[in-house]
Amino acid sequence: MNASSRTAPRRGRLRLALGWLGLGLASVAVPVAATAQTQQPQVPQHWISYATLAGNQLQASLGNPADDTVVRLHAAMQSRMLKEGQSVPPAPVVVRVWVAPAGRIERVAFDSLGDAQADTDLRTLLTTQTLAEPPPRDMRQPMVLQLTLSFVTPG
Amino acid sequence: MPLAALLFRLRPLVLAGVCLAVAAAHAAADGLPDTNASGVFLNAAGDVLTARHAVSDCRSLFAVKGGQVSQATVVAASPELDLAVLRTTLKPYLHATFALADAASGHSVGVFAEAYAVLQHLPGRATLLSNAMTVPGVDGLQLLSGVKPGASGSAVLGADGLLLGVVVERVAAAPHAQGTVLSRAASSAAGTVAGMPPGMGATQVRAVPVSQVREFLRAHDIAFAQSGRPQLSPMQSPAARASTLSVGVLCG
Repeated sequence: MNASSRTAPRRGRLRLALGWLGLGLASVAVPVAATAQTQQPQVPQHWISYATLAGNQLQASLGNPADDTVVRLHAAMQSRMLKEGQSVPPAPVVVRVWVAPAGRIERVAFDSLGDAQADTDLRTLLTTQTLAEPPPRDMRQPMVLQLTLSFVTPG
Repeated sequence: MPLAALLFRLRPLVLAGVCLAVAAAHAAADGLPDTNASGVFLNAAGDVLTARHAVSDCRSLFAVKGGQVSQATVVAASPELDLAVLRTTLKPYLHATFALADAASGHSVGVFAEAYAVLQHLPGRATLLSNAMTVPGVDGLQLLSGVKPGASGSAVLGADGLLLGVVVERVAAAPHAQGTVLSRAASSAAGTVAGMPPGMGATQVRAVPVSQVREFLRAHDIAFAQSGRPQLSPMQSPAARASTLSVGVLCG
């Protein structure tokens, strides 16, 4: 077996695996401002409940294969992994989310994904969302969400 | 959301296409999805609690949430309680959290219960705190409510967002009369309603209290969450939460 025949199947497997790469929210964190306060040891349950709702809704939208922006973002993340020769998903992306009183996501902040278009796409996907419910009036913002890339095997 | 999971979930959507077209045609008359009944998400796996009478004798059965449609199968049912659980491929944003105790029976409390189809277009949903009152001094859980047709299987939420029960029937006003269900007649394209004239105001409806729902689910080993901690702050809307938790049921 020569070099090319050895590497070709490997690339094929890699492409297949990356073809199932999904972007999802692995977990949802409550507002940092709240957790940092030692005098308030227990985060209110209704904050946690709302953050869970927000995380699941955003997870659904970021995994929508019918959305061209989602597909482009996934492709960019796959390219980044190929370029960097990574065999494991990159570190989670921490996203801070500010929600307007009516539930619209009005602002997000996150460290660059390393690609301007990917940054724009992620920002667009998040800020075009209106969450299913308005946020609790007493909830401190921003919410801090953690985006995690994960391999997904078909079937 | 794993991309692969989404792709696999698309398959039942395609199968549901014909039925959806029928529903869309019906919806044109009143602007609402023509779901027969309602349900509430029980767990993160997408199991849905509903009224048994709304899902019995269906040639086809679907669960509807927003733009998603899933084929549904009945995995547990209780003729005595008129409860059923549907297995779906829907992925909820949130699922119900059961109250640890039934609603107080000694006095009336404000609650929220409404049909899925109505919730989707309910004006002022984000600020509505209550639309029904519990009836004190009766067995089980009864509400004075203006719920519309299709409310069978609706969650009864307390002001704290915890599940207090599930609507199953309208209670007859006359002592000798029988209760009537609150699901739409599945065979009627015009939206004829079993037991409840259109435009009817407040009426008395019966709900299965949370304690009985809990026993039913435990007997069938179906996962659910319960808590004594409020899921909503005092000024958050149970109507908005009900909408998040609610599922439409389409029995063809």
